[in-house]
Amino acid sequence: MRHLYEFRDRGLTISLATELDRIVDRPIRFMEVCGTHTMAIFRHGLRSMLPEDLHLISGPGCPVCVTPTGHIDAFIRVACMPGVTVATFGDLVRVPGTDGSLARTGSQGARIEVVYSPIDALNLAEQRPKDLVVFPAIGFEATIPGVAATILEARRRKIQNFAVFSAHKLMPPALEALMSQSGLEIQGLLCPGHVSTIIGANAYKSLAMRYHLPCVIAGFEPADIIHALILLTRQVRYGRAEVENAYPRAVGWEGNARAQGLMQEVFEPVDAEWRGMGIIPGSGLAIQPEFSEFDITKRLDIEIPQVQGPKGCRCGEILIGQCMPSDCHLFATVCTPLDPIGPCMVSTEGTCAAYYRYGRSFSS
Amino acid sequence: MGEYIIVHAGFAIYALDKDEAEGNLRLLMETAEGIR
Repeated sequence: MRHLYEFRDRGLTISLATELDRIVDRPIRFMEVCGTHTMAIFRHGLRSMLPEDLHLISGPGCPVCVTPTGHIDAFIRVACMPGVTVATFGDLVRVPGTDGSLARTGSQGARIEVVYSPIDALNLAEQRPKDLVVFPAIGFEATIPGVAATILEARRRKIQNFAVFSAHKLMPPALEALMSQSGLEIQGLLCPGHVSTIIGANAYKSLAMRYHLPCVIAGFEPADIIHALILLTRQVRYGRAEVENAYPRAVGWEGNARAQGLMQEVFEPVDAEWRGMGIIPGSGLAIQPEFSEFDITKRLDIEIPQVQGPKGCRCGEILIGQCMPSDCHLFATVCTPLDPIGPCMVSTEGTCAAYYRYGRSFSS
Repeated sequence: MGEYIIVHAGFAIYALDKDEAEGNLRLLMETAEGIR
């Protein structure tokens, strides 16, 4: 397919990797923020092509992974209520809460349906008028406009048995919080592609300036990723700290204004808890009061408990680059994709799942 | 019809810019050719 396969070209990727190898002249650590990048780097075998001195660590860009245990517990509590059907993305189903998962709750009789889009959840509500269909809304800026559009569509179609449990997260405040923590020694950010499609490349400018941090937005094909690493390395070598857009075919500097408008129409920023990072001001989204009939936390008066994550699980540290999956004693022993303890082993974008599947030998 | 779009969670979030794609590819090739 044109505009896709060219960016997977083996010869091009190898040539770019050779150039990267040539310019890396010191130990460098970059963070790939996005879970899809983590998976793409492994899937395409890029780690084996990287210079020895170039280290990549994964960041907090997996929505399932950063959703704290208290939210999972609250989703399960809603699923246990009579007359409720929870319609959710598949990777959320297996994330362990304090006492089981949505999958286990489903096996005990709760109605859990896997959907691929929030609009599928809305259609399900239309098909089942006697059920209250609840959509646990996790995800970053790439997902949020679709959920906003679905809420507007629910109002337009006058579907009253549909509600959203918003656990959305915003990426820029989280990156700001991450960089303000001491001890995170990284020289640049490989910024997410799809999130940047919505928020635009300008969203990283303050981060680059304030922390003198090179930021490069990357696509998801092998040549895209190596090219972005070259741009980051050049910035490090020449002492620059700028935002560069290495994914211009899908990301503009201003982002998707229409999608941003949808988000602002339906949601408002609130403080939000992130696994591993605690509460970050303005990093979450709640449904605007004007749409409260679609807000399950208002409709059923749901509170989100503050609880600890699974004992011994180091997902929180992995998400902020403080340790690697192989540093966790549970990794690949009692925590496996078949029987996960932490969310990073569950999600298709999870760092532990990627390391388990492709690279168990990598460690800090 | 005939456009390349990026679909995320069931929604098209961006229509791919063909001119930018061509330019993007040219830049990658130039970077790679620098060492050939």
